Amino acid sequence: MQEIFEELSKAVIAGDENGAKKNAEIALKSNVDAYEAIIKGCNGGMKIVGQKFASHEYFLPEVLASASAMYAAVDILKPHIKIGKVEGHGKILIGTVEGDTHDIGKNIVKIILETAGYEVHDAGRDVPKKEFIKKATEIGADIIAMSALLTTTIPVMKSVASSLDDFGMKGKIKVIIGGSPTSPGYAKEIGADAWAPDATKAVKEIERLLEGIQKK
Amino acid sequence: MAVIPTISKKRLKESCNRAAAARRGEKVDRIPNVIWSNGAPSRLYGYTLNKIMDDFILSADLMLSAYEAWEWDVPLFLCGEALQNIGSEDIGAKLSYREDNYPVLVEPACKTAEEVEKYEIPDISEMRKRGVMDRQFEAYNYTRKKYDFEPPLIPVTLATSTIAGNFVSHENLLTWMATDPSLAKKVHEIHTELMSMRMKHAIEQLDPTRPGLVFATDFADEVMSPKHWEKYVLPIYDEWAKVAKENGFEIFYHLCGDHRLVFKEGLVDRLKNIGVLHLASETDIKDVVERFGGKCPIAGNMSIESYRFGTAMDAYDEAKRQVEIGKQCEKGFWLVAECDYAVDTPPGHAYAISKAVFEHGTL
Repeated sequence: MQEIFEELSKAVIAGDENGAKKNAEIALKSNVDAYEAIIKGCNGGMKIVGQKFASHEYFLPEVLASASAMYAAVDILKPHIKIGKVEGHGKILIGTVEGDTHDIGKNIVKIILETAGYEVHDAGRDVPKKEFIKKATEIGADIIAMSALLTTTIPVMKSVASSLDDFGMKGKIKVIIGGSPTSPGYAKEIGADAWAPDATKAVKEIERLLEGIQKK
Repeated sequence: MAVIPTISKKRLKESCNRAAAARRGEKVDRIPNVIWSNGAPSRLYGYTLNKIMDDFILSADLMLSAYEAWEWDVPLFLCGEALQNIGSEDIGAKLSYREDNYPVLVEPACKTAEEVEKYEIPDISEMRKRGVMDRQFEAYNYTRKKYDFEPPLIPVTLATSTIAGNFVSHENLLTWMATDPSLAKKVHEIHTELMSMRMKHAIEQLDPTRPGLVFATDFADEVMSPKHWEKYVLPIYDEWAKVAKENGFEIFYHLCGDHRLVFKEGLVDRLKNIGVLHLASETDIKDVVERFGGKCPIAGNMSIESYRFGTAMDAYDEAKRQVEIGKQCEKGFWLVAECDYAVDTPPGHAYAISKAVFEHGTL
């Protein structure tokens, strides 16, 4: 069984979509628990991808290829997961703010968060303030993560953070921001709870924020 | 909307001459203060970005006026600075222009490998119909004639990687870099050819003037490895540098985003026909000057953190630090914010930057 997980993991790390699909099928045929195959094979592989990304061995092209391989395997395995097995560590709503379609940074944070076991809801790009609030309420988000690349679009982040206050959700939903024109100073200025310069640090900051929520 | 004050032709001419001389490595009285922005002037006078993108004449007038008010020296991106995705429409991508925002991609030109294979490069007249390129040359020539000076720079293609991404979507392009390098290479070759046509058209429109042609790459280390950059981005610049050089133009290289690994690997050294080298603030200006100060003119890179999110004093201090370092450049130095000057920067910070240049930038 360990061998199957390792092969699945290897295919994910190599960004080999066909290999990942093949090993997912093998796992099912061998009566391996689908949830375990996702956690130990797919997520196990993506954890290593995350480490390689953090150490600059991998960059976004390799990460995207690995993510495609992972999703291909997960699509095969997911229908076979026994209900009640999936436990979320925290719900995160992520999106690129209105006026901005530069979503590469957002996508990488999403992938790395998913590999760390978080339930990530992707609001997409060019997301208006109202949409962030609506979706966060709908899914019961613990965290809203916002990204922007353009200096003109970052005021939307402030607007979302202020709206949480207006709706009495300030403190209940934490806000993290990132992207080239943002900074720790800007995060503080708009009342965000955290700022991260890259995907790896974003995951660490989100872990910290969620720990704070759970302790309360 | 505020009335746009009159612009002093004399001052503008002097400023531009100063910047042009500094770019040539000639002795000048002080470091030129070459911040660029259309957004901040538009905000100052109550116009939306959309409005100024529709009206390049207004864009030029209002920008020059704000620059004069702030005592900035040169309108670096005289026309079309707001067009972050400049060139994307020319190659068939669909953009959305929204109130007070930069244009954003709605749909790439090609979505699949098959569509890339079948893509036919349009001729220049078709590209001109789709895009905005002629408007910026009209504005350039309008400004040149009206104010009797030669703007030292004009953008030819901004956001090189964004435009390549807009051609097939960034997800596709980046994934193909890992899974199908020959397809990724083909996309970049199409992009190079399209933008070369665009550049040749620009050269015809600008003749007989020879402003620096601004090329910008908008991301590197955050996204791709130095090897990817060497394989996919550098050849684009090689080709464009060749076309520019053949026609007597130099290039203002704006390397936006984190290029520290690319810089460390010596890939920046391989850029050709450098008119001015401008790296984003992740790379310390000291390192840039140390390595390139004796080779080519350098543009400073004040970070948004220093001039927008700090105090006016922070802006002053960073401008002072930059010009002090810049004085060591044998081939010339311009003070520049790392990139597009943030629209909501308090106006006092713009004055603080000028004050630092006047007090510490004298040569």
